[in-house]
Amino acid sequence: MRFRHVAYVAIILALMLQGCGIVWETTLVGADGSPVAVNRQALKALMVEEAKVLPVDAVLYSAGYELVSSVTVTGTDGVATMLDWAEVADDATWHADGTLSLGDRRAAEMSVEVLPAPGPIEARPMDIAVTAMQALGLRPPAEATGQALTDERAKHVLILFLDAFGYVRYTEALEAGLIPTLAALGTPRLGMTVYPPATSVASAALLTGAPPHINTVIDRGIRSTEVETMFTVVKQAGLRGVAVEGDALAFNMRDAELTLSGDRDANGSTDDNVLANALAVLDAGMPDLLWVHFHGIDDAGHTYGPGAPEEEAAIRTVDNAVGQILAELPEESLVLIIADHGMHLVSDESRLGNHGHLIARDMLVPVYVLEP
Amino acid sequence: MRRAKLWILGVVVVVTMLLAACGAPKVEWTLTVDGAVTTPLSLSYADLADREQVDLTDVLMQKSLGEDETASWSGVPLEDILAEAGAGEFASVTATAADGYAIEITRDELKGGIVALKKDDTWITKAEPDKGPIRLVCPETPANRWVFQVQTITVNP
Repeated sequence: MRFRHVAYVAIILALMLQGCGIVWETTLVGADGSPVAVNRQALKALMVEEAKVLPVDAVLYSAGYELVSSVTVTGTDGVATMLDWAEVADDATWHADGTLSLGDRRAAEMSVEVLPAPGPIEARPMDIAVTAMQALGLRPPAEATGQALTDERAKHVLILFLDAFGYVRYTEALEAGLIPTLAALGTPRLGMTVYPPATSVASAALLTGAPPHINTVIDRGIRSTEVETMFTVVKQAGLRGVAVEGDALAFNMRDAELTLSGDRDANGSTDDNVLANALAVLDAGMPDLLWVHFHGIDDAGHTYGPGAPEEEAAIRTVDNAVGQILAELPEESLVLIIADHGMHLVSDESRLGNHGHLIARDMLVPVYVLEP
Repeated sequence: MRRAKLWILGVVVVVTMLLAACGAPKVEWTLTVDGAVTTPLSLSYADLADREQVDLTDVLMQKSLGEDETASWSGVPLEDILAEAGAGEFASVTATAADGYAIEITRDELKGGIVALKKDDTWITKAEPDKGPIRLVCPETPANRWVFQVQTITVNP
Protein backbone atom coordinates (compact mmCIF):
# COMPACT_ATOMS: atom_id res chain seq x y z
CA MET A 1 0.00 0.00 0.00
CA ARG A 2 1.34 3.42 -0.94
CA PHE A 3 1.56 5.97 1.83
CA ARG A 4 2.15 9.62 1.26
CA HIS A 5 3.02 9.94 4.83
CA VAL A 6 2.77 7.86 7.85
CA ALA A 7 1.90 9.57 11.05
CA TYR A 8 2.82 7.61 14.05
CA VAL A 9 0.54 8.66 16.74
CA ALA A 10 1.75 7.83 20.11
CA ILE A 11 -1.27 7.06 22.12
CA ILE A 12 0.42 6.75 25.42
CA LEU A 13 -2.13 4.86 27.26
CA ALA A 14 -1.53 6.37 30.59
CA LEU A 15 -3.99 4.05 32.08
CA MET A 16 -2.80 5.05 35.43
CA LEU A 17 -6.11 4.34 36.87
CA GLN A 18 -6.18 6.32 39.99
CA GLY A 19 -8.14 4.96 42.85
CA CYS A 20 -10.64 2.41 41.51
CA GLY A 21 -10.25 3.30 37.84
CA ILE A 22 -12.54 6.29 37.70
CA VAL A 23 -9.96 8.91 36.84
CA TRP A 24 -7.80 8.33 33.82
CA GLU A 25 -6.45 10.34 30.93
CA THR A 26 -4.64 9.45 27.74
CA THR A 27 -2.84 11.84 25.46
CA LEU A 28 -3.54 11.37 21.80
CA VAL A 29 -1.56 13.17 19.14
CA GLY A 30 -4.11 14.70 16.82
CA ALA A 31 -3.97 14.69 13.04
CA ASP A 32 -2.47 18.18 13.10
CA GLY A 33 0.15 17.18 15.63
CA SER A 34 -1.47 18.84 18.62
CA PRO A 35 -2.13 16.88 21.79
CA VAL A 36 -5.68 15.78 22.45
CA ALA A 37 -6.70 14.69 25.91
CA VAL A 38 -8.86 11.59 26.03
CA ASN A 39 -10.56 10.88 29.32
CA ARG A 40 -13.90 9.74 30.64
CA GLN A 41 -15.51 13.13 30.03
CA ALA A 42 -14.20 13.31 26.47
CA LEU A 43 -15.57 9.86 25.71
CA LYS A 44 -18.94 10.68 27.23
CA ALA A 45 -19.19 13.79 25.04
CA LEU A 46 -18.77 11.60 21.98
CA MET A 47 -21.19 8.90 23.09
CA VAL A 48 -24.86 8.71 22.42
CA GLU A 49 -26.93 8.27 25.56
CA GLU A 50 -26.82 4.88 27.25
CA ALA A 51 -23.65 3.81 25.44
CA LYS A 52 -20.92 2.33 27.60
CA VAL A 53 -18.26 1.91 24.95
CA LEU A 54 -17.19 4.03 22.03
CA PRO A 55 -15.76 2.92 18.70
CA VAL A 56 -12.11 3.91 18.51
CA ASP A 57 -13.00 5.41 15.12
CA ALA A 58 -15.02 8.07 16.93
CA VAL A 59 -12.08 9.08 19.12
CA LEU A 60 -9.70 9.23 16.16
CA TYR A 61 -12.21 11.30 14.16
CA SER A 62 -12.55 13.74 17.04
CA ALA A 63 -8.77 14.09 16.91
CA GLY A 64 -8.93 15.01 13.24
CA TYR A 65 -8.30 11.67 11.52
CA GLU A 66 -10.51 10.77 8.55
CA LEU A 67 -8.81 7.77 6.96
CA VAL A 68 -6.86 5.14 8.87
CA SER A 69 -4.98 2.33 7.17
CA SER A 70 -3.59 0.34 10.06
CA VAL A 71 -2.70 0.47 13.71
CA THR A 72 0.20 -0.99 15.61
CA VAL A 73 -0.87 -2.19 18.98
CA THR A 74 1.38 -3.02 21.87
CA GLY A 75 -0.44 -5.30 24.23
CA THR A 76 -0.11 -5.45 27.97
CA ASP A 77 2.38 -8.27 27.38
CA GLY A 78 4.67 -5.87 25.50
CA VAL A 79 4.21 -7.55 22.11
CA ALA A 80 3.59 -5.16 19.20
CA THR A 81 1.30 -6.20 16.32
CA MET A 82 0.36 -4.31 13.17
CA LEU A 83 -3.33 -4.64 12.32
CA ASP A 84 -5.26 -3.65 9.21
CA TRP A 85 -7.80 -1.10 10.39
CA ALA A 86 -10.47 -2.33 8.00
CA GLU A 87 -10.24 -5.73 9.67
CA VAL A 88 -10.14 -4.70 13.31
CA ALA A 89 -12.20 -1.51 13.43
CA ASP A 90 -15.42 -3.42 14.08
CA ASP A 91 -14.01 -4.69 17.35
CA ALA A 92 -11.98 -1.64 18.38
CA THR A 93 -13.65 -0.01 21.34
CA TRP A 94 -12.73 2.45 24.01
CA HIS A 95 -14.46 1.83 27.33
CA ALA A 96 -15.53 4.46 29.78
CA ASP A 97 -13.08 3.04 32.33
CA GLY A 98 -10.21 3.80 29.96
CA THR A 99 -9.72 0.30 28.62
CA LEU A 100 -8.82 0.18 24.93
CA SER A 101 -9.64 -3.17 23.38
CA LEU A 102 -9.32 -4.59 19.89
CA GLY A 103 -11.25 -7.82 19.89
CA ASP A 104 -9.73 -9.93 22.64
CA ARG A 105 -6.58 -7.77 22.79
CA ARG A 106 -6.07 -5.19 25.50
CA ALA A 107 -3.86 -2.37 24.30
CA ALA A 108 -1.28 -0.68 26.44
CA GLU A 109 -0.02 1.48 23.56
CA MET A 110 -1.13 2.06 20.02
CA SER A 111 0.15 3.95 17.00
CA VAL A 112 -1.99 4.87 14.03
CA GLU A 113 -0.92 4.81 10.41
CA VAL A 114 -2.81 7.34 8.36
CA LEU A 115 -3.94 6.56 4.85
CA PRO A 116 -3.73 9.60 2.58
CA ALA A 117 -6.73 10.26 0.35
CA PRO A 118 -6.13 9.51 -3.35
CA GLY A 119 -6.22 13.25 -4.02
CA PRO A 120 -7.26 16.52 -2.45
CA ILE A 121 -10.70 16.48 -0.87
CA GLU A 122 -12.89 18.68 -3.08
CA ALA A 123 -16.29 18.39 -1.44
CA ARG A 124 -17.96 17.51 1.83
CA PRO A 125 -21.62 16.88 2.73
CA MET A 126 -21.84 20.29 4.41
CA ASP A 127 -21.18 21.94 1.05
CA ILE A 128 -24.34 20.63 -0.58
CA ALA A 129 -26.97 22.73 1.21
CA VAL A 130 -24.82 25.85 0.83
CA THR A 131 -24.34 25.19 -2.89
CA ALA A 132 -28.04 24.53 -3.47
CA MET A 133 -29.18 27.62 -1.59
CA GLN A 134 -26.67 29.88 -3.32
CA ALA A 135 -27.77 28.59 -6.70
CA LEU A 136 -31.37 29.49 -5.84
CA GLY A 137 -30.33 32.91 -4.53
CA LEU A 138 -31.17 32.01 -0.95
CA ARG A 139 -29.24 32.27 2.30
CA PRO A 140 -27.57 29.13 3.63
CA PRO A 141 -29.22 27.27 6.53
CA ALA A 142 -28.59 28.98 9.87
CA GLU A 143 -25.79 26.73 11.18
CA ALA A 144 -24.18 25.89 7.85
CA THR A 145 -20.40 25.79 7.70
CA GLY A 146 -19.97 24.38 4.20
CA GLN A 147 -18.65 26.12 1.11
CA ALA A 148 -20.47 26.61 -2.18
CA LEU A 149 -19.10 24.26 -4.82
CA THR A 150 -20.05 26.64 -7.63
CA ASP A 151 -21.09 30.26 -8.01
CA GLU A 152 -23.57 29.45 -10.77
CA ARG A 153 -27.18 30.51 -10.28
CA ALA A 154 -30.01 28.22 -11.34
CA LYS A 155 -33.77 28.25 -11.51
CA HIS A 156 -33.96 24.73 -10.10
CA VAL A 157 -31.72 22.46 -8.08
CA LEU A 158 -31.81 18.67 -8.33
CA ILE A 159 -30.03 16.58 -5.71
CA LEU A 160 -29.59 12.92 -6.64
CA PHE A 161 -28.67 10.92 -3.55
CA LEU A 162 -27.06 7.56 -4.41
CA ASP A 163 -27.05 5.75 -1.08
CA ALA A 164 -23.83 3.80 -0.38
CA PHE A 165 -22.20 4.55 -3.73
CA GLY A 166 -18.77 5.36 -2.34
CA TYR A 167 -15.85 6.70 -4.32
CA VAL A 168 -13.92 3.42 -4.30
CA ARG A 169 -16.97 1.57 -5.58
CA TYR A 170 -17.45 4.32 -8.18
CA THR A 171 -13.94 3.72 -9.55
CA GLU A 172 -14.55 -0.03 -9.67
CA ALA A 173 -17.93 0.40 -11.34
CA LEU A 174 -16.42 2.77 -13.87
CA GLU A 175 -13.73 0.27 -14.75
CA ALA A 176 -16.28 -2.53 -15.02
CA GLY A 177 -18.52 -0.50 -17.33
CA LEU A 178 -21.47 -0.54 -14.95
CA ILE A 179 -22.20 3.19 -15.06
CA PRO A 180 -22.38 4.54 -18.62
CA THR A 181 -24.56 7.49 -17.58
CA LEU A 182 -22.28 8.64 -14.78
CA ALA A 183 -19.20 7.96 -16.91
CA ALA A 184 -20.53 10.35 -19.53
CA LEU A 185 -20.80 13.09 -16.91
CA GLY A 186 -17.03 13.23 -16.43
CA THR A 187 -14.94 12.74 -13.36
CA PRO A 188 -16.66 13.51 -10.06
CA ARG A 189 -15.07 15.50 -7.30
CA LEU A 190 -13.49 13.53 -4.51
CA GLY A 191 -15.69 13.90 -1.46
CA MET A 192 -15.15 13.01 2.18
CA THR A 193 -18.27 12.19 4.14
CA VAL A 194 -18.81 12.74 7.85
CA TYR A 195 -18.26 10.26 10.67
CA PRO A 196 -19.88 7.93 11.33
CA PRO A 197 -20.41 7.24 7.64
CA ALA A 198 -24.10 6.40 7.90
CA THR A 199 -27.19 7.65 6.08
CA SER A 200 -28.83 9.56 8.91
CA VAL A 201 -25.61 11.30 9.93
CA ALA A 202 -24.69 12.27 6.38
CA SER A 203 -28.29 13.28 5.60
CA ALA A 204 -28.28 15.70 8.51
CA ALA A 205 -25.03 17.22 7.27
CA LEU A 206 -26.36 17.43 3.72
CA LEU A 207 -29.60 19.08 4.78
CA THR A 208 -28.25 21.49 7.38
CA GLY A 209 -24.85 22.29 5.91
CA ALA A 210 -23.51 21.72 9.42
CA PRO A 211 -21.24 18.93 10.70
CA PRO A 212 -22.52 16.33 13.18
CA HIS A 213 -21.24 18.01 16.32
CA ILE A 214 -23.28 21.09 15.37
CA ASN A 215 -26.43 19.50 13.93
CA THR A 216 -26.41 16.98 16.83
CA VAL A 217 -26.93 13.93 14.62
CA ILE A 218 -23.84 12.07 15.76
CA ASP A 219 -24.98 8.48 15.33
CA ARG A 220 -27.13 6.42 13.04
CA GLY A 221 -29.93 5.96 15.56
CA ILE A 222 -30.79 9.67 15.46
CA ARG A 223 -33.26 10.54 12.73
CA SER A 224 -34.10 14.20 13.21
CA THR A 225 -32.50 17.52 14.04
CA GLU A 226 -33.75 20.83 15.35
CA VAL A 227 -31.13 22.66 13.30
CA GLU A 228 -32.49 24.48 10.27
CA THR A 229 -32.37 22.59 6.97
CA MET A 230 -32.33 23.80 3.38
CA PHE A 231 -35.94 22.69 2.97
CA THR A 232 -36.94 25.13 5.72
CA VAL A 233 -35.02 27.92 3.99
CA VAL A 234 -36.77 27.08 0.71
CA LYS A 235 -40.19 26.98 2.36
CA GLN A 236 -39.64 30.26 4.18
CA ALA A 237 -38.71 31.89 0.89
CA GLY A 238 -42.04 30.82 -0.56
CA LEU A 239 -40.40 28.29 -2.86
CA ARG A 240 -41.20 24.63 -3.29
CA GLY A 241 -39.00 21.78 -2.08
CA VAL A 242 -39.90 18.16 -2.83
CA ALA A 243 -38.25 15.01 -1.52
CA VAL A 244 -38.76 11.66 -3.24
CA GLU A 245 -37.65 8.94 -0.89
CA GLY A 246 -37.74 5.16 -0.75
CA ASP A 247 -40.24 3.26 1.37
CA ALA A 248 -39.03 4.78 4.63
CA LEU A 249 -37.24 7.88 5.74
CA ALA A 250 -33.69 7.34 6.84
CA PHE A 251 -33.91 10.88 8.15
CA ASN A 252 -36.88 13.12 8.76
CA MET A 253 -37.42 15.59 5.92
CA ARG A 254 -38.98 18.48 7.80
CA ASP A 255 -40.58 21.15 5.59
CA ALA A 256 -40.22 19.12 2.40
CA GLU A 257 -43.16 17.97 0.35
CA LEU A 258 -42.63 14.27 0.81
CA THR A 259 -43.28 11.43 -1.62
CA LEU A 260 -42.54 7.95 -0.35
CA SER A 261 -41.92 5.10 -2.77
CA GLY A 262 -42.96 1.75 -1.37
CA ASP A 263 -42.17 -1.44 -3.22
CA ARG A 264 -45.71 -1.66 -4.54
CA ASP A 265 -44.73 -4.02 -7.33
CA ALA A 266 -42.98 -6.30 -4.81
CA ASN A 267 -39.89 -6.74 -6.98
CA GLY A 268 -37.55 -6.40 -4.02
CA SER A 269 -36.34 -2.88 -4.80
CA THR A 270 -37.77 0.59 -4.37
CA ASP A 271 -35.47 2.21 -6.95
CA ASP A 272 -37.99 1.70 -9.78
CA ASN A 273 -40.68 3.23 -7.57
CA VAL A 274 -38.42 6.17 -6.68
CA LEU A 275 -37.71 6.71 -10.37
CA ALA A 276 -41.41 6.60 -11.26
CA ASN A 277 -42.26 9.10 -8.53
CA ALA A 278 -39.39 11.40 -9.49
CA LEU A 279 -40.47 11.39 -13.13
CA ALA A 280 -44.04 12.12 -12.01
CA VAL A 281 -42.79 15.13 -10.06
CA LEU A 282 -40.87 16.38 -13.09
CA ASP A 283 -43.87 15.78 -15.33
CA ALA A 284 -46.03 17.90 -13.04
CA GLY A 285 -43.46 20.71 -13.02
CA MET A 286 -39.96 20.78 -11.63
CA PRO A 287 -40.00 22.26 -8.12
CA ASP A 288 -37.37 24.76 -7.02
CA LEU A 289 -35.55 22.06 -5.07
CA LEU A 290 -35.91 18.35 -5.77
CA TRP A 291 -34.21 15.66 -3.66
CA VAL A 292 -34.30 12.10 -5.00
CA HIS A 293 -32.89 9.32 -2.84
CA PHE A 294 -32.09 5.89 -4.32
CA HIS A 295 -31.62 3.21 -1.64
CA GLY A 296 -31.03 0.13 -3.79
CA ILE A 297 -27.21 0.05 -3.81
CA ASP A 298 -27.18 0.25 -0.03
CA ASP A 299 -29.82 -2.46 0.37
CA ALA A 300 -28.06 -4.84 -2.03
CA GLY A 301 -24.64 -3.99 -0.59
CA HIS A 302 -25.71 -4.87 2.95
CA THR A 303 -27.41 -8.08 1.91
CA TYR A 304 -25.04 -9.45 -0.73
CA GLY A 305 -21.87 -7.40 -0.25
CA PRO A 306 -20.23 -4.84 -2.53
CA GLY A 307 -19.18 -6.49 -5.77
CA ALA A 308 -21.87 -9.15 -5.67
CA PRO A 309 -23.95 -9.55 -8.85
CA GLU A 310 -27.05 -8.26 -7.05
CA GLU A 311 -25.22 -5.12 -5.93
CA GLU A 312 -23.83 -4.60 -9.43
CA ALA A 313 -27.37 -4.88 -10.79
CA ALA A 314 -28.47 -2.21 -8.33
CA ILE A 315 -25.67 0.07 -9.52
CA ARG A 316 -26.74 -0.42 -13.14
CA THR A 317 -30.36 0.31 -12.20
CA VAL A 318 -29.49 3.52 -10.40
CA ASP A 319 -27.18 4.66 -13.19
CA ASN A 320 -30.00 4.11 -15.68
CA ALA A 321 -32.44 5.97 -13.44
CA VAL A 322 -30.05 8.92 -13.21
CA GLY A 323 -30.02 9.06 -17.01
CA GLN A 324 -33.81 9.03 -17.24
CA ILE A 325 -34.18 11.81 -14.70
CA LEU A 326 -31.50 14.00 -16.30
CA ALA A 327 -33.22 13.55 -19.66
CA GLU A 328 -36.42 15.05 -18.29
CA LEU A 329 -34.83 17.88 -16.37
CA PRO A 330 -35.62 21.42 -17.46
CA GLU A 331 -32.82 23.71 -18.47
CA GLU A 332 -31.48 26.15 -15.90
CA SER A 333 -31.15 23.32 -13.39
CA LEU A 334 -28.13 22.75 -11.20
CA VAL A 335 -27.57 19.05 -10.52
CA LEU A 336 -25.71 17.70 -7.51
CA ILE A 337 -25.09 13.95 -7.44
CA ILE A 338 -23.89 12.71 -4.10
CA ALA A 339 -23.49 9.69 -1.88
CA ASP A 340 -23.71 9.51 1.88
CA HIS A 341 -21.09 6.80 2.46
CA GLY A 342 -19.58 3.74 0.86
CA MET A 343 -19.59 0.10 1.89
CA HIS A 344 -17.08 -2.61 2.77
CA LEU A 345 -17.31 -6.38 2.87
CA VAL A 346 -18.09 -8.07 6.15
CA SER A 347 -18.89 -11.65 7.04
CA ASP A 348 -21.67 -11.29 9.57
CA GLU A 349 -24.37 -13.92 9.67
CA SER A 350 -27.05 -11.47 8.64
CA ARG A 351 -25.18 -9.26 6.18
CA LEU A 352 -22.23 -9.21 3.81
CA GLY A 353 -21.68 -5.47 3.58
CA ASN A 354 -21.53 -2.63 6.09
CA HIS A 355 -20.16 0.85 6.65
CA GLY A 356 -19.15 2.94 9.61
CA HIS A 357 -15.36 3.15 9.80
CA LEU A 358 -12.57 5.58 8.97
CA ILE A 359 -11.59 3.63 5.87
CA ALA A 360 -11.55 4.74 2.24
CA ARG A 361 -14.35 2.41 1.20
CA ASP A 362 -16.69 3.94 3.77
CA MET A 363 -15.57 7.57 3.95
CA LEU A 364 -14.79 8.63 0.38
CA VAL A 365 -17.72 9.59 -1.85
CA PRO A 366 -18.10 10.93 -5.41
CA VAL A 367 -19.68 14.36 -5.82
CA TYR A 368 -20.88 15.63 -9.19
CA VAL A 369 -21.65 19.31 -9.70
CA LEU A 370 -23.41 19.74 -13.07
CA GLU A 371 -23.89 23.39 -13.80
CA PRO A 372 -26.88 24.61 -15.84
CA MET B 1 -75.34 1.16 61.30
CA ARG B 2 -72.42 3.53 61.07
CA ARG B 3 -70.00 0.63 60.76
CA ALA B 4 -72.05 -0.78 57.86
CA LYS B 5 -71.88 2.56 56.02
CA LEU B 6 -68.12 2.62 56.46
CA TRP B 7 -67.87 -0.88 55.04
CA ILE B 8 -69.95 0.06 52.01
CA LEU B 9 -67.87 3.19 51.47
CA GLY B 10 -64.70 1.16 51.74
CA VAL B 11 -65.93 -1.39 49.21
CA VAL B 12 -66.92 1.40 46.80
CA VAL B 13 -63.50 2.99 47.11
CA VAL B 14 -61.66 -0.30 46.55
CA VAL B 15 -63.84 -1.22 43.53
CA THR B 16 -63.36 2.24 42.06
CA MET B 17 -59.59 1.98 42.49
CA LEU B 18 -59.54 -1.48 40.91
CA LEU B 19 -61.56 -0.28 37.94
CA ALA B 20 -59.26 2.68 37.54
CA ALA B 21 -56.24 0.39 37.64
CA CYS B 22 -57.70 -1.91 34.98
CA GLY B 23 -58.80 0.85 32.60
CA ALA B 24 -56.74 2.63 30.04
CA PRO B 25 -54.65 5.56 31.22
CA LYS B 26 -55.67 9.03 30.12
CA VAL B 27 -53.45 9.96 27.21
CA GLU B 28 -53.85 12.89 24.85
CA TRP B 29 -53.31 11.38 21.44
CA THR B 30 -55.21 11.29 18.18
CA LEU B 31 -54.76 8.86 15.31
CA THR B 32 -56.04 10.11 11.96
CA VAL B 33 -56.93 7.73 9.14
CA ASP B 34 -57.28 9.40 5.76
CA GLY B 35 -56.43 9.06 2.07
CA ALA B 36 -58.32 6.57 -0.08
CA VAL B 37 -61.11 5.94 2.43
CA THR B 38 -64.82 6.66 2.41
CA THR B 39 -64.96 7.69 6.08
CA PRO B 40 -61.86 9.44 7.41
CA LEU B 41 -61.38 8.68 11.09
CA SER B 42 -60.04 10.64 14.01
CA LEU B 43 -59.52 8.24 16.91
CA SER B 44 -58.48 9.28 20.40
CA TYR B 45 -56.40 7.07 22.65
CA ALA B 46 -59.56 6.31 24.62
CA ASP B 47 -61.40 5.38 21.42
CA LEU B 48 -58.68 2.91 20.59
CA ALA B 49 -58.57 1.52 24.12
CA ASP B 50 -62.35 0.95 24.07
CA ARG B 51 -62.16 -1.28 21.01
CA GLU B 52 -61.67 -5.01 21.00
CA GLN B 53 -57.99 -5.76 21.54
CA VAL B 54 -55.96 -8.63 20.15
CA ASP B 55 -52.68 -10.02 21.42
CA LEU B 56 -49.53 -10.74 19.43
CA THR B 57 -47.48 -13.04 21.62
CA ASP B 58 -43.70 -13.43 21.59
CA VAL B 59 -43.10 -11.49 18.40
CA LEU B 60 -39.47 -11.35 17.28
CA MET B 61 -38.39 -7.75 16.82
CA GLN B 62 -35.65 -7.78 14.17
CA LYS B 63 -33.76 -4.55 14.72
CA SER B 64 -31.38 -2.70 12.46
CA LEU B 65 -29.52 -1.44 15.53
CA GLY B 66 -28.80 -3.48 18.62
CA GLU B 67 -29.86 -6.96 19.61
CA ASP B 68 -33.11 -8.48 18.42
CA GLU B 69 -35.79 -8.70 21.08
CA THR B 70 -38.93 -10.73 21.67
CA ALA B 71 -42.00 -8.99 23.04
CA SER B 72 -45.77 -9.34 23.21
CA TRP B 73 -48.12 -6.63 22.04
CA SER B 74 -51.82 -5.84 22.46
CA GLY B 75 -53.90 -3.44 20.43
CA VAL B 76 -56.49 -2.88 17.76
CA PRO B 77 -56.20 -4.81 14.46
CA LEU B 78 -55.31 -2.39 11.72
CA GLU B 79 -57.58 -4.36 9.41
CA ASP B 80 -60.58 -3.42 11.59
CA ILE B 81 -59.65 0.26 11.58
CA LEU B 82 -59.18 0.35 7.82
CA ALA B 83 -62.47 -1.49 7.29
CA GLU B 84 -64.24 1.03 9.51
CA ALA B 85 -62.72 3.86 7.47
CA GLY B 86 -63.99 2.25 4.30
CA ALA B 87 -60.66 1.43 2.70
CA GLY B 88 -61.36 -0.87 -0.21
CA GLU B 89 -58.64 -2.26 -2.42
CA PHE B 90 -55.45 -0.39 -1.67
CA ALA B 91 -51.75 -0.75 -2.44
CA SER B 92 -50.19 0.50 0.76
CA VAL B 93 -50.50 2.86 3.69
CA THR B 94 -48.22 5.70 4.68
CA ALA B 95 -47.74 5.95 8.43
CA THR B 96 -46.51 9.29 9.70
CA ALA B 97 -45.16 9.78 13.22
CA ALA B 98 -45.29 12.84 15.44
CA ASP B 99 -41.65 13.69 14.77
CA GLY B 100 -42.11 13.69 10.99
CA TYR B 101 -40.84 10.18 10.37
CA ALA B 102 -42.83 8.46 7.64
CA ILE B 103 -42.90 5.05 6.05
CA GLU B 104 -44.87 3.41 3.28
CA ILE B 105 -46.00 -0.11 4.12
CA THR B 106 -47.42 -2.37 1.46
CA ARG B 107 -50.63 -4.28 2.01
CA ASP B 108 -48.74 -7.58 2.28
CA GLU B 109 -46.50 -6.20 5.00
CA LEU B 110 -49.54 -5.06 6.97
CA LYS B 111 -50.83 -8.62 7.47
CA GLY B 112 -51.61 -9.16 11.13
CA GLY B 113 -50.66 -5.61 12.00
CA ILE B 114 -52.09 -3.83 15.03
CA VAL B 115 -52.14 -0.37 16.48
CA ALA B 116 -50.52 -1.40 19.75
CA LEU B 117 -51.38 0.17 23.08
CA LYS B 118 -49.62 -2.35 25.32
CA LYS B 119 -46.21 -3.98 25.30
CA ASP B 120 -45.75 -7.04 27.48
CA ASP B 121 -49.09 -6.26 29.14
CA THR B 122 -48.02 -2.75 30.13
CA TRP B 123 -49.65 0.36 28.67
CA ILE B 124 -47.27 2.30 26.48
CA THR B 125 -48.08 5.91 27.16
CA LYS B 126 -44.94 7.99 26.91
CA ALA B 127 -42.51 8.88 24.18
CA GLU B 128 -39.59 7.80 26.33
CA PRO B 129 -38.89 5.13 27.29
CA ASP B 130 -42.07 3.48 25.94
CA LYS B 131 -41.73 4.71 22.35
CA GLY B 132 -45.44 5.46 22.61
CA PRO B 133 -48.22 6.34 23.16
CA ILE B 134 -49.18 4.09 20.27
CA ARG B 135 -47.14 1.99 17.91
CA LEU B 136 -47.86 0.37 14.60
CA VAL B 137 -46.71 -3.24 14.98
CA CYS B 138 -46.52 -5.41 11.86
CA PRO B 139 -45.31 -8.87 12.85
CA GLU B 140 -44.45 -9.84 9.28
CA THR B 141 -41.86 -7.09 8.87
CA PRO B 142 -38.60 -6.18 10.65
CA ALA B 143 -39.10 -3.99 13.70
CA ASN B 144 -37.30 -1.06 12.13
CA ARG B 145 -40.47 -0.68 10.07
CA TRP B 146 -42.75 -0.50 13.11
CA VAL B 147 -43.62 3.13 13.57
CA PHE B 148 -44.02 4.54 17.05
CA GLN B 149 -45.95 7.71 17.91
CA VAL B 150 -48.12 7.23 14.84
CA GLN B 151 -50.34 10.21 14.19
CA THR B 152 -51.60 9.59 10.67
CA ILE B 153 -52.29 6.54 8.55
CA THR B 154 -52.90 7.51 4.94
CA VAL B 155 -54.33 4.86 2.65
CA ASN B 156 -52.75 4.80 -0.81
CA PRO B 157 -54.89 3.48 -3.71
